[in-house]
Amino acid sequence: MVTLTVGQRLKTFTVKPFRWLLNAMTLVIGNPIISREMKVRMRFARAFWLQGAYLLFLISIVSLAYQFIVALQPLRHPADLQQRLQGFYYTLLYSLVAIVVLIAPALTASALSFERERRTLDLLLTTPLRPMQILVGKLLASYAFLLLLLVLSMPIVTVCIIMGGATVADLLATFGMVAFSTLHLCAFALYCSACNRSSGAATFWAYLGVAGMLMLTFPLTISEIALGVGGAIGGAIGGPMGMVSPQVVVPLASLHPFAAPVIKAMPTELFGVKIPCWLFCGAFSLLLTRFWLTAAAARLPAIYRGNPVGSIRRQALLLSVLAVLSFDAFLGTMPVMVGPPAPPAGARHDLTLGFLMAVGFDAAFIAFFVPWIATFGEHEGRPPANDGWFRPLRMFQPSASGALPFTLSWFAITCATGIALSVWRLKTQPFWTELLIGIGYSASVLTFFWSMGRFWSASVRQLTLARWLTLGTTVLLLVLPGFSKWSLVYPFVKLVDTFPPADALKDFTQQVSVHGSVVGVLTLLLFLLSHTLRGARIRR
Amino acid sequence: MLEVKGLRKEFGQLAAVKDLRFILAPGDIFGYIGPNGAGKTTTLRMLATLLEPTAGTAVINGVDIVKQPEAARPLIGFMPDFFGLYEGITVWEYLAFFSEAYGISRRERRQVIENVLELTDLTVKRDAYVETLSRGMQQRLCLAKTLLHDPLLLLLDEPASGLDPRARAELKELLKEIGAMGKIVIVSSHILPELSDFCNKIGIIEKGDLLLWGDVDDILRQLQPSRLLSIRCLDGAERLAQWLSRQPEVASVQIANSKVEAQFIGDDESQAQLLRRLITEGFKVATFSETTMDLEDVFLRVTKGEVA
Repeated sequence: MVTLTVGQRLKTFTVKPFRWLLNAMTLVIGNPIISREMKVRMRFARAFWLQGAYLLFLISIVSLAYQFIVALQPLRHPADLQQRLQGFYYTLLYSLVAIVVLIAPALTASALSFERERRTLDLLLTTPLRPMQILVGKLLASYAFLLLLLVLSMPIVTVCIIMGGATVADLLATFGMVAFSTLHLCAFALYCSACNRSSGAATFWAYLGVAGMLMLTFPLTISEIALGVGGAIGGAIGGPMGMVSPQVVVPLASLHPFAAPVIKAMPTELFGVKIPCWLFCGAFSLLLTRFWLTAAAARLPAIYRGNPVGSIRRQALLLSVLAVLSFDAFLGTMPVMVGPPAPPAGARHDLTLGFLMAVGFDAAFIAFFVPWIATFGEHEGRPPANDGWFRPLRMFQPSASGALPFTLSWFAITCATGIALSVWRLKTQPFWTELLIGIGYSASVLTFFWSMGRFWSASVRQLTLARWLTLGTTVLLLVLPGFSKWSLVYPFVKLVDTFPPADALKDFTQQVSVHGSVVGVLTLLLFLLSHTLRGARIRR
Repeated sequence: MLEVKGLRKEFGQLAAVKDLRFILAPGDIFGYIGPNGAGKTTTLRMLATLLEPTAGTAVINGVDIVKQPEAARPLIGFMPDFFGLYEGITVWEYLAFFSEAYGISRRERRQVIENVLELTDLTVKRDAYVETLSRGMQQRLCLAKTLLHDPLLLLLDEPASGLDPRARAELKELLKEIGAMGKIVIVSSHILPELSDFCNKIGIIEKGDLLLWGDVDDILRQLQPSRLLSIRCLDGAERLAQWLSRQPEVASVQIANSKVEAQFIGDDESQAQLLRRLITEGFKVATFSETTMDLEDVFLRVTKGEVA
């Protein structure tokens, strides 16, 4: 047995984190890409024209907003002015956020693909720069330009302070949150740039992805905006809306840049600790940014040692668990369902129903990543690597045999975290049998999608094609049957449609027994078929 | 020392490069010859750590390019066949950017850049924007970038393609100079005359197979066991041909345009004796020369004109 000396132990605890910090610092300090990109970007007249156009646009928005919201209509009540100034403030800031969100993906979406098109990428990749240095350099150079645009708009936005619609702190917090929430969007666009050969395709996918991400957090954001705006306005006029607590109940909403003007200064409460929302937004956005950068690093066309796939999967797990845990803020606002002597059955039914819906949503979310996890095939000269079908120890390795263990673990960990948190917070037990049936069914659906990934991987040689075919069939089976009986989500649809909740749970378990059997048989069939196809190909 | 050990690359069913094996020592200039699509660029991209080999590896001074690509990169200088230059920056800024990327300290940077600018004859263009340079100058700038970190192995993929004759001649001189600096240089090309002047080793690749590799002189000797002598006499070709066909060292004789061409089997000594005997016999020898094979002849003899 190796015994560590005191010095070695100290080194483990002090030098290693320090080394990590040093590595992180070298990504930024002395990164030649940042200085070159910024120099080129700011050297020619084009950059100044762009900044000029941006400012002109903002000035015209300010003028129009002032005319239509503040100046044109006569005042009826002193509180009316306050409300109008708030309206003016929101109009201005939402216009600003809209422009920033529109510009952000375009700035980084062509960062790497343009290097490919210009044939300079090879020269860059043969230097000793690490993949992360290249990517962070590219990201920060573009992001700095975005920050410059935000800073440039500050004098215009201060109109709101002069007129009394907002304070300096309000504006700074909003700008900070907008900056944080666009960082991960820029990182995603950079990932698109690493995946696509042409800048056109990269920009298209970047905008599509950003739209998708904004849609995903939109329901959370709109509820927060409703609460926030309602609370603020209600508070201003002293009406009943002012009773609404100005607290962010779904911190994930802060990742949506459009939420920033409303929730920037509000706190959120996680595990009894009040933290400012911008802090959560910043931390989560940085983690998301790191995730997208790691994913982009895996797509750089050069030989690099290391295991980016493992890192991506570990980060995905961490992000998912953190996202689930952030719902503590929401659970904290709910009344504890403890009734004398035990919680009423109705509450347990409602809770189980809520859990089942959350489990279904979790599985559907993971299902859209399965085409990237389950497929294997030839890619950029790398041969397909099928090393079996189920090896749990390989779930953090780029191997086909680790795909199913990782998918199921991801699902199980997120489910377990969410359920444990809710049960602990609400002090109420759900109906475990129904819940476990729902979890089992969702896991079997994920296994079915995994087997479909293997089937397409065995049928076509190219990895990209296999991925698209898997994604296509996943969407087809989840969405296209129009939530009819043929849809895999039908048991969950029944859950929502049926009332009362006790009957809904009964119907759900019945539907799951039918759908679950079909899914099981189909999974087995697809698995066997893919096995036969692969065998036939090897013989050929 | 560069040792290529069974390097192989497959793209689907297609084997672009098949089990390459060769060894090069410092100072070697290796002409990598092959028709378009033979696998030259794929080989160079694998050696430049841009493409992962399906099998095999290469070791540069003990550093494995597949297992330690990060450690191998500072030892390699790669100039691709088609390359772009960053626009909007000057020649000096371009080189400063790459010297920073190669980790050259700020203190040494100025001297290093001045040295490579001088070597590539671009000192006068140091403040010019890179997009304003001619194609030949851009090629030299890329070469300057490749030399910045003083690599042991230089990989030049079709360095002369697209250059005018003057720029080509200048590049040839520059490569000779670099070769004299004791670096291992691999130059791929399908234009053979440009390699013949300065390569001491060649390798011929076709359809991914390295058909032969080795010292240029050894290969020529190997492929040309007999010498082709071309003799012109003032007293008529017929008589000379008859006399030559009776000589034991002459395998065959033919008359072409008043000259007699003889396949001669023998060394330099017996070739000199043949000339003496001709003169002793009273032939009025006007010209007596040996026609040697060049790289083009070697290439045409070895390859079949197929692509992978």
